[in-house]
Amino acid sequence: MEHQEAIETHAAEGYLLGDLTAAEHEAFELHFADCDTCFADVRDGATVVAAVRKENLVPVPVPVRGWQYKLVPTLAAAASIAVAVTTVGYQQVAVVAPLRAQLAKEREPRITPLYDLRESRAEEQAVAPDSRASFLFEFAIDPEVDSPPYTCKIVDARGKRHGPQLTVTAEQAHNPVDLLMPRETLVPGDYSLIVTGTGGVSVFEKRFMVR
Amino acid sequence: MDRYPFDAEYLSRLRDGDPMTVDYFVAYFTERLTIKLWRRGLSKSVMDDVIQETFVRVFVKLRSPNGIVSPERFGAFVFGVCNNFLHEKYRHDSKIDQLGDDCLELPTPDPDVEQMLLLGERGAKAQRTLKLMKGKEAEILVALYIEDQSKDEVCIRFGITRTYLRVVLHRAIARFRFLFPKG
Repeated sequence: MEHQEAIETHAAEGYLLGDLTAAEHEAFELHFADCDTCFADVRDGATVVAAVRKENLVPVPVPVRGWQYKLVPTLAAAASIAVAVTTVGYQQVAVVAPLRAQLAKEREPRITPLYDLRESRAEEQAVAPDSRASFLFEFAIDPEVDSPPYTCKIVDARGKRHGPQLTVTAEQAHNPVDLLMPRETLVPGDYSLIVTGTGGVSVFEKRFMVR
Repeated sequence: MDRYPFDAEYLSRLRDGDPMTVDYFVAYFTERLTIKLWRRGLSKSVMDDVIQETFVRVFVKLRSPNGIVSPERFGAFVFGVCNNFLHEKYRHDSKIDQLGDDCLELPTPDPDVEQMLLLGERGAKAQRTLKLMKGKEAEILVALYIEDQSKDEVCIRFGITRTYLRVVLHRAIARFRFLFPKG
């Protein structure tokens, strides 16, 4: 798809609406892969759609416009304010306050446990993280294996990935790498930390057991 | 982000693993591929996997003897690699479904409290922005993305064609972005 055609047909909005044919959809994607203007249109639209989506907010009455304004009774407005004040007050006490207390508790300083997978020379290392808290694995990437960027992940004995997958650039690989595991990610069992480079080149593999 | 020209020299630096070039490549295509995959309704973890695999395949091709033929179409090439992987993934996943995978998916963690507060804050900003907008534009955003009305229903309700719906959406997005509180 040419840029002029994308502009004239409002392809970005058609893309966001899901209104393009399969061929147009693919052609427009290949176009905005290289076109900053069209990509900006898509990104801006996607940002707005994400902000407006109903998961983010409860439906709001669209404002009454023009002559209808004059027909809105003052009493109704006063009643609305009273209801709003009561609702906000209730939310502050029953919803916001407990959330703030929970947030303050979450933000209390704490030490994140760290398991150094470089420490043990044993074939399999045992770790015993508290499953209710997040923790870190620390390891090093062998700079001899030159195929960045490196991909780091934790897999179980069946090869299923657990937790986030981390990409490490050549520069970052000069320092020890930390992989943050969210709480309740690993149940007791056998796992491996696998680091691969470009094309799946094996860089580092370390087996460990979670007790 | 300053735009690097996609040319033979850029690809050469990327192939050689120049840190700034690699970082730019990762940032540029993570953003674009995320939007592309978001449009397909994929989950965050699947998106991450697809993007990672796309990057790996692009680097393999980049470092292969025949390399990449048209540097100026590098973006389209990366998207093509992503499409190919998605097709393979769909085929593979449909086979696994037929076999009856007994592997349990880990539940997606609930948003933490901070995320919930931020979400609420953003929702309130979005509500205020909608109230500030022109009636029709706000109504169309609400109809499409809050009330989940079909595009045909929206067109009938507002007396517009499907083509004009794109124009109104374009204006609504621009207006929303202009009025949405910054920061």
